[in-house]
Amino acid sequence: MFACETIWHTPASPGANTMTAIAMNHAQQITSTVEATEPVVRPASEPSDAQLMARLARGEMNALAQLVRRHQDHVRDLAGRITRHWDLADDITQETFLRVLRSAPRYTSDAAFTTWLYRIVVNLCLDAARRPKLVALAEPDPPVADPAAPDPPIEREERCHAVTEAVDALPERQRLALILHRFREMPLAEIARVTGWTASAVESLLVRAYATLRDRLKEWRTS
Amino acid sequence: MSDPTTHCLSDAQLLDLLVRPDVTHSEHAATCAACARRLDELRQTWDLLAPMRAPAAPVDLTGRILAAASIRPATFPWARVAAVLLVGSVVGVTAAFGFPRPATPAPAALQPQQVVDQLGLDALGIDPEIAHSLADIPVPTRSATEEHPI
Repeated sequence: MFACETIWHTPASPGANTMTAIAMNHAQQITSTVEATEPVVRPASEPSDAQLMARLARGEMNALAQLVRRHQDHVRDLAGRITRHWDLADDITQETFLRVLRSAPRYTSDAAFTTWLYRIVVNLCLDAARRPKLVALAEPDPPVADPAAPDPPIEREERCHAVTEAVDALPERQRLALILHRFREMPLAEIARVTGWTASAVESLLVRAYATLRDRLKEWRTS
Repeated sequence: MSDPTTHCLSDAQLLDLLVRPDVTHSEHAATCAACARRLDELRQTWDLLAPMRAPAAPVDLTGRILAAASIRPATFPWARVAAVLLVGSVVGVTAAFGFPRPATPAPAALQPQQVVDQLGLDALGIDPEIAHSLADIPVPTRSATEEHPI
């Protein structure tokens, strides 16, 4: 079991990471865990996401409240991992649900709601990363190691930083594919739908990302 | 289509195996040394990245989102647009053609003999010829009388 909790860390060298990110650097205490996406089995009494979207399209705002409570942690978790700035992740979470609200009348449940939702998140994150003012201020939130991990704190911190640097150094598309695969536990087909890339492109990106990480983290993997 | 039990798994199948259990692919990986090695390498790197935690969300994030949503229209305001168009069209039609007035039936033209009878000319002993000529005099209508009361 490894100790590293987060991968948000200042890149080792300027330009090492093509995923630009934003300002407002501050440390926050780890107090919650957001599980990766899993098929959710809800009680029959609970409306599905599609049903809530239909109600929202009719103007029932309490449907939005239910969607927010159901998905906001996952949305924020994904935004935070992509941007590496939690204040920005909060803003993106808010904007995501505002877009859900605006798009409700046009929403069709052809694809899973979460696929559609995460596509909004990814687009907002990529838009944020392109903002010139924010790029100039880019300094990601520092990683915070898991205080409950069994290994010594120093080793835990070192490993956390090593993993963070390795992930941050990945090309942007590889890093995004890796985040969706590893931390949202999406199959390749769903990653393709969220990103708009082809499934074969996602496969190629992930193969290269894991190969690079395996090489760069060899020391930690064998220890 | 290749048989997954005898052919090595593709990279995509191995990557999906990390996130979604697949009995057939798992059975193959358990018996194929090459696939088992590839899967093990992937899983070691996968494990190295775990577990990942997120800082707690601000306490008021949900309220903040819902407050922001409440000041935006929930949907495109079709009802408002329709109302504005309706009012606009009514005003436009009114301006073009004037305000409609309640229809008042035009007073029916009286026959000469009716005039004679109504005025009681017979009782006055007026010569019928004169009465007949008097009957040809236009009798003021009700509306004209009201406009110019005597």
